[in-house]
Amino acid sequence: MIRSHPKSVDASQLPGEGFGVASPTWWGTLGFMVIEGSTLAVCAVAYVYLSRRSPSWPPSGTPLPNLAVGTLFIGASLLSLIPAWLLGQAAKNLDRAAVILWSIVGLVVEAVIVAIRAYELHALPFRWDGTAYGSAVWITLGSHTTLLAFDFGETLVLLALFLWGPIQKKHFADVADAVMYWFFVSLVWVPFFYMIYVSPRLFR
Amino acid sequence: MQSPAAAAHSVLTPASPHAVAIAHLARLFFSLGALVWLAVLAFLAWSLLRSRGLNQPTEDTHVVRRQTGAVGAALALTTILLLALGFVDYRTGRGIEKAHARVLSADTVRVQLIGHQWWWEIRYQQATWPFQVTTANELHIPLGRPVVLTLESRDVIHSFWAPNLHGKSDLVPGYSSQFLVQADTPGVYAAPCAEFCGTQHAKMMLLVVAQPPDSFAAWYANESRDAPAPRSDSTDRGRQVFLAAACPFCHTIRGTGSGGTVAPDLTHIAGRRMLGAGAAFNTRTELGGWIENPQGMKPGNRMPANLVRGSDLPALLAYLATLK
Amino acid sequence: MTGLATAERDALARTWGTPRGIAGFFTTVDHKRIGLRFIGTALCFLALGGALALMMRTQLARPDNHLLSPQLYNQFFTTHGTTMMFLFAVPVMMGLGIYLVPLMIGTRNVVFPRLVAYAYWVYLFGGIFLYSGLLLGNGPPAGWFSYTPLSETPFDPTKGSDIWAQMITFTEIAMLGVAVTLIITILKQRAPGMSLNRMPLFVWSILVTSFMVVFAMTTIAVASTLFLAADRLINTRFFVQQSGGDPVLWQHLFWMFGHPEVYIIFLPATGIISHLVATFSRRPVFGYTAIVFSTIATGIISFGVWVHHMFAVGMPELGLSFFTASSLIVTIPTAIQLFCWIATLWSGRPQWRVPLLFILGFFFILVRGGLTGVMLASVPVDLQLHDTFFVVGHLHDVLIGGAVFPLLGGLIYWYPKFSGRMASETAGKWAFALIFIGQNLTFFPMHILGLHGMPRRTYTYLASTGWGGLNFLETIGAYILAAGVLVTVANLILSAFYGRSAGNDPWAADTLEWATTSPPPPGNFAALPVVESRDPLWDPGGSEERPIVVGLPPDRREVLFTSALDAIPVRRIPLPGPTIWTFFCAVGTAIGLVMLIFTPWGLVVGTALAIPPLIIWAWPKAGGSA
Repeated sequence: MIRSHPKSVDASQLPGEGFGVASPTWWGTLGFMVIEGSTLAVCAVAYVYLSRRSPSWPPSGTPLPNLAVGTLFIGASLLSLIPAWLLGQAAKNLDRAAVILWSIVGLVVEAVIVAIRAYELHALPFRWDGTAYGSAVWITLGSHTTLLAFDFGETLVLLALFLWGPIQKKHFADVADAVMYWFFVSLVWVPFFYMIYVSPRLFR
Repeated sequence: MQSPAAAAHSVLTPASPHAVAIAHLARLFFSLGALVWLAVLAFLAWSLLRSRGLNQPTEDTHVVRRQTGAVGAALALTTILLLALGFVDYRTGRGIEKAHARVLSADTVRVQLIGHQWWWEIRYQQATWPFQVTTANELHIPLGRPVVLTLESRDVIHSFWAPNLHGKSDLVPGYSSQFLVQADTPGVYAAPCAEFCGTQHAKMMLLVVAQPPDSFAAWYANESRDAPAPRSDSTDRGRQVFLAAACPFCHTIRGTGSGGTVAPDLTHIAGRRMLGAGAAFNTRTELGGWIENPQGMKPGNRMPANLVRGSDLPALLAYLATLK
Repeated sequence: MTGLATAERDALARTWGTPRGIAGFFTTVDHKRIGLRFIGTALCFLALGGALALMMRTQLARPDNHLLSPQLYNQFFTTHGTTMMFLFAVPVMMGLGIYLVPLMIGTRNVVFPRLVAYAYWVYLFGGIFLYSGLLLGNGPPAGWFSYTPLSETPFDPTKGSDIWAQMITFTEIAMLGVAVTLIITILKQRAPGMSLNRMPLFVWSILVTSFMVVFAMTTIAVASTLFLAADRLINTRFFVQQSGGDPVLWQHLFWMFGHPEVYIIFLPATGIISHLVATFSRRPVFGYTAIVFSTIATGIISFGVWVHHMFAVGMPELGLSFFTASSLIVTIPTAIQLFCWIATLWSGRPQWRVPLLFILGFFFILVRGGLTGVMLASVPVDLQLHDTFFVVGHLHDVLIGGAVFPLLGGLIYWYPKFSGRMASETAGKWAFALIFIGQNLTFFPMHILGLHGMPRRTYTYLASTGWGGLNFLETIGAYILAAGVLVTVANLILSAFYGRSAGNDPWAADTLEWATTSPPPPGNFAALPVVESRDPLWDPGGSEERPIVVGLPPDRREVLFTSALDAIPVRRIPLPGPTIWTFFCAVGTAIGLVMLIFTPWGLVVGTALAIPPLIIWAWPKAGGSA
């Protein structure tokens, strides 16, 4: 093994961690998104499977979930992508102050979204232990809520890091990854919003 | 009954047209499989014993071409074989289905088979008199006539499987499915529960008794009658014991006023070959042991022990022996 | 390893090493130590599961036997299956992956070393949790497949099924962490020049397997943790038919996991076979590309066959035909691999050592198992043989023949790399003979018993069935098999002290793990290799003339990221070092999960105990890498 071999590689001039595919955290976040997306997909499979076993869906006697609250949630989620995008830009520009600013905004926005989700759950006119329909809706909402909670926690920890920690370029990439995750958490809910709130009204 | 022969229980001794078709198919798959297995091992052995001995990867294109040809041929053969097997399988399946479709008629015997932990409830439902007969654990069917079983479960998933007659079909709570069987050879066929259903899954065996039509008619007519009235003091005392103990909470003996439905119907228990859904053969000693200590013979089953005082047991047994 | 000064090698050892003593035990992030832990622990679970099996076989040796009560027997067979599938087979293959993949692709560690360290503790705690339940009389009683409604509260009011469902959560967390780590490591950390079509076949098999784990284990986690456990603990109704649920839904979800699961176990074994066949015929495997495509095809098709476990449930005939077809088709890629291996052996020069014996045993038993599998793909035949001992015979043929034999061959083969010593050839031959004879004697007669009507999962049978003779024979076989496993374990343990010293490459093999010392130093290689072909060690020219990577500082934990397809160097990536916080996070996770089967407050407690260590573990160190 010799240095002077023509095919030997000199790594000393290579850049360090970057954004996207050049960041292990990006790959890890992607992996987490695939796993959580699959989790929600299995919830959807159960929901759809059980709906086809039932003569009516929701089963007769069960009221539909509150469309206004559901729409409020998905609307707020999608709107939150604006500060999310701005946070992502701040990270790409390696602007520590802007990252702190938009992280705080994001934290507040996410707290509001979590509160709306709590209200959404509270407003469900059925419990999880009455019918299989109720179980499927509650567990699907509950699973997605854990993603929200994780996202909130991640934003909080990164904010703490940017306020007090030793910052390197890699941490801006971590913020960008958290933003990607935030986009995932918000957008993945769109088909579920349709499935739970819209489609039973269309096909009742 | 003295040492009765064991019920038949083999896939390879079919007693029905369906089981014959399946046994043929199984034998075909098995023989072809055995040949393929031997062929693969033979090629392996030949490869090892006559190996070319090439050391490092000098890519001799002649050798590579031979290897590619051999692998390609083996792959083609495999695919053809699988296609052929798939085709034969498809034909056999369609044959069985078409046979099912042809036979459903007024001649069909209809039985509702309900699985419980750990016994079989049997309810005949005929269009002609006697319309309904309820029994347990022993299913009689007439030879040569199609029998449609409606399979249901009251608790967990069970599975009806008489290997001499057909494949198996599950009894799933919340579902009601139809399953057709037909026996062409007389005999007693074992149908052990074939889906793990809890503690005593191992001792949940249904016996299928295939009889010539007149024997079946006689049996069926007998089953539809209530229990005979006691003819002696001891049997009368035995009936009193039955009614006074906790037995009627779970069991029914038609004609005595008992109406329990969570355990087997005992109206004609003396005519059955086995006890406890195949746990033991139906002899006086075994029945006595069963009543005294059901947990000894079938631990975990739902029948409590010590229901009957020791001195009452002979009378009870005498009464039960009359319930043919 | 020439070309590197002693000072540099010492610096590497210091940088990549593990602290000494008990501290090192809890803080290590060395993939080799973690990989060996997974393998060693999995072998312990193999022994435990095997002990349960021996007791089951002893109970079945005679009709009407009273050694085990039905309750105990049912807990034993449930725990046996659960142990083998969740606690032995998948962790041992992934553990082998954790150990070998960085070495085979020429890098210093996996991409998330702390995650795999955490994953090991979670796996261990999950296994301990399951066995605690069993030892306290609360073993799961509903089968490794835990069908509903039998596993729901009305029919299992004990904590047994809760323990089963939650053990799945432990295992799922661990295996998903390992799978994601291995995928990213394989895609991004390969040596420069190791394009995908130069990657060793074992690495390919681990890559495909890891993708399968991500999709399959997520499915079972949702089904058992979110649905079944929720049904039992907070009264949801997923499988309760009176409330609109469906017990068959469980079967669909379980087998959507369960069938890929067996290929998750089998595909790494095929990877091992490819390496053994190459080394012990002393030539590269014939049909590299065909084998890669076969591995991928098997992985994908295996997600489309699950209904063949449910043929008796009562679904429409037309739907079942699709699954017969897919179940027949899934055999074709495996057949391709078998033919390529035979072609390799034919054109090579066989080396009659113990690993080759295990390859032969693999062919003998796995091919038989595959062919009985073809039988079971036919709906009419399956309806006779489903849930009988025929299936027990089939599954043990494919799992023992198809996975355990390659594993044992692989353990003997890589033993010198793990330990620096050769395992005993004599002990290996005795072990092979006992295991081979034992396996065949135990499991072949089961096919006959199934055809003669013996259902499975039964704690006893009547003497009048006539099944006693074959059952007795099978029990003898089981003891012979167990003896073979004991000899293997003894071999693995004792050879560490008494085995002949091994050099870097005692088998003259061709993959990169043999280019470093046995055992490898903490950073795996003194100098990271650059590869120019599929079989770098078989290229002409000696080790002095191979290209290497220079310019990575020896005083920091840094590895090379290369492009996913062609392995062109792109980045220098820092990796984290040892930490105790992964252990504490695992403890917090375990406490939370155990509490959850008693009260929903477990979620709060678990989060409170596991999240702070997680934050600390991920928090960056001042001035250095995170």
